[in-house]
Amino acid sequence: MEGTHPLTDGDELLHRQVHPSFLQQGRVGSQAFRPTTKDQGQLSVSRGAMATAAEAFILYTTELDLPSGGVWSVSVAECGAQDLPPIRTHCPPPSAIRLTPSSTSTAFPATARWNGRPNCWRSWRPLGAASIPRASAQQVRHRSPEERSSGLFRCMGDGVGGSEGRNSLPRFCSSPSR
Amino acid sequence: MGLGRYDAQDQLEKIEELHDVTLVEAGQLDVADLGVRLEELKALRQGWFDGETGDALNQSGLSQVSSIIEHLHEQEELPIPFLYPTPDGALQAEWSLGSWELSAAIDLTSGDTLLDAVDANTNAGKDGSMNLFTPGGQEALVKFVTSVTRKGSI
Repeated sequence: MEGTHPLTDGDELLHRQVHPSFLQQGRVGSQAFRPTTKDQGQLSVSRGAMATAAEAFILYTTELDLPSGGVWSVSVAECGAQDLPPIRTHCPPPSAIRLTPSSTSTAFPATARWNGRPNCWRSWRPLGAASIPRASAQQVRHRSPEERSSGLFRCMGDGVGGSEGRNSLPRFCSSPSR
Repeated sequence: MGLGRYDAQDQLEKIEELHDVTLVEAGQLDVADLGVRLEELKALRQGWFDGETGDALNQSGLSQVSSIIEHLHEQEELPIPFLYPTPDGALQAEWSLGSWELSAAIDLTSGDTLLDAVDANTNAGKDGSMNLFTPGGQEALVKFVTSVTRKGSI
């Protein structure tokens, strides 16, 4: 059940893909870290334990064919400190997680305060992806199904789905959870 | 100013010559930046966010907001904000001023605007609302933003 699988490694990084339109002259806008109406109040990220920022970027932009201007990351511990404990989704094996407010959090996401909470927003830091060589993207794209299913990208296999029964593949680390 | 060597991916590899160094204050934009950004935002089409969601921004509303910001910048020293689209077709203006983060969520059709500010150091904050398309609303925006730059607090 969602909400019953908290992440416990405080050092684990959580990667967020930032839409290119949410970048202006290198400054990322707070919109990048706000759930959309489809997100049901839960911001989606991918787990650092399953993929590096660069790998998550390649996966997102090549396999899912979605736009990303780069990867910003925050640690599990930083989320916990902000009363936004990250939890795993039903994605088997879990490589997509969501940040969800605890019962005591009043600032997320109903009010716009989320976008201005400095220790949430400012905790996110860029982790590259802008300089990933194109060859790397091609290499990932052309990995065999066996390779993808055995390692970092095995979450891309059949049955990967949003916890609310949405369509499977595009729901991983993208809408409705970005 | 200088001369740099770039690779095939347009990544800077090496600075060959350095002629001049100018200190640029982070986060400071000018009117030219505003114009460039306006064109970028106008170019967004329906579905820009993920192919499905992402409403195009109201073109006339964008132009109106841009004109207002430019006017307030020149007349009232309002700092040029960073501008971002929202998936529901609104416009988010943001300023990073010292330890303060300010934002204005602008409805491009009505001009209705929600203001929010928070101090990263103290978590102190303030919010409000106004209509950017009215003189009173523009005055309120200037007061909201410049109170941070001039006094360091709201």
